[in-house]
Parts: sequence; C-alpha cells; structure tokens
Amino acid sequence: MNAQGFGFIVGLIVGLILVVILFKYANTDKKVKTEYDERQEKVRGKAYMYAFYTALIVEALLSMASICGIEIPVKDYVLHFMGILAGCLTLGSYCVWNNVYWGMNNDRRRYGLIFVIAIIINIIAIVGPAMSGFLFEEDGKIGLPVLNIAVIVMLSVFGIEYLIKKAIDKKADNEEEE
Amino acid sequence: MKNLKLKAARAGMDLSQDDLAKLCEVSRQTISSIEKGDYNPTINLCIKICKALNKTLDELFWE
Repeated sequence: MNAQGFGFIVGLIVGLILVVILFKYANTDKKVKTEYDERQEKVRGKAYMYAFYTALIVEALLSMASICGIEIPVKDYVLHFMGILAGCLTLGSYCVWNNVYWGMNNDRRRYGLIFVIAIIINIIAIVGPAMSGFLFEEDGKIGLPVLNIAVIVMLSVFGIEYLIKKAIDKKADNEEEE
Repeated sequence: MKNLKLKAARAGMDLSQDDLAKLCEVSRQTISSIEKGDYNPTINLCIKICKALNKTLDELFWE
C-alpha cells in the first residue's frame, strides 16, 4: 500500500470516529442514532431507494464512459466516490423536500454548527492545494479536491433547498390559517 | 382529503401543531401532513392523537 492510500484510509477512520462523536454531541439524548417518527421513517425508506438507484446509474454511466474510452480528467478513485455522493445528494434532497430534515432527537443549533464547520473544512481543503498549485496530479488529472468541491456543492444544495422549502411551507401554512 | 376534524379539535384545545406534535412524540410536519391529508397515520398514531385531544377515533378519523 502506498503512502497516499494509507493516509486516505487513516483519514476515513478518523472521519468516521469524528462523525460518531459529533452525532452524540448533536443529539439531545446523546445517542448516535437519530430517531424518526413513522412518517419520517416511511419517507426515508423511499429516499434510500432513490439514492440506491442514483448511485447505480452514476456507476453504470462511469463504467460505460470507461468502456467507450471517454477520458474524464478526474482520478478513478474520486470518480467512484462521485457515485456515493450522488446517492447521498438524492437521499438528502428527497428528505429535505419531504420535511424529514430534523429527527426527533436532533439539536438543530448544533447540527447547523456542524453543517457550517463541514463547509469550512472542505473549503480549506481546496484552498490549500489550489494556492500551492497541487490541485492537479502529475498525470494532469484532478484528485481529492474534486471530492471537497462536490461535498460543498451537496451541502449548499441541502441548505438552499431547506430555505426554499421552509419558505414554501410557511406561505402554505399562512394561507391555510387565513 | 383534509382532516378538518383534527384541525378543529386541536384548535378547540388551543394547541399549536407543534404542541400536539410534542404530545404525540412526532414532528410538527407529520401533524401538518395529517391535517392536510397528505399522510395517512397508523392506528398507533391515531390513538396517540385521540388521547392527546381527548377524542375518540370515530370523532377524529371516521368519515
């Protein structure tokens, strides 16, 4: 295993441990698992289904592109993560649009804070290599920074979608009250 | 189909959707969805809502 691979795996493990700690901190009952009510569970079931299909389609398209000899200027390992991120984007977007953004035991302020920190960390991860000219690897392909950009885009989509949905719901509720 | 009986019973007890949601241990959006007729609750949740609003299943959920 090369140094980059080792670093990547260590980073993933540290990231997972950090996620567990953050979830414990962000849930009011200090549990890692977020609790959902029956409607939310039902919506999430559908969201997981769509997320699975999305990841499947993206992976199939990437495989087809590879078979057809279409060159994508992005490292292979990053491309595979794109399928996972596309699935995550579908899952999150569907949940936000169907009002399943908050679980029963979520501390909204703390989750908001984690959201902002995640965006800042990803921006820092792009700015560093971009300023030192290491955005592209030796073969001219872009590596890890693409993932950071994709994560920022995904989180921004969730944030914007949340604000739009909140405004729509508020308007609908006001109209119903009248 | 909108559940106006539920909405009226909730308003009759001077409860907001958020208050009723807390009493029933569900999200506010779930109560809103039931009132709008977008979500068909399970019998367990119907019973919880009835208990919170001091009504019977017939009064709130039977057409």
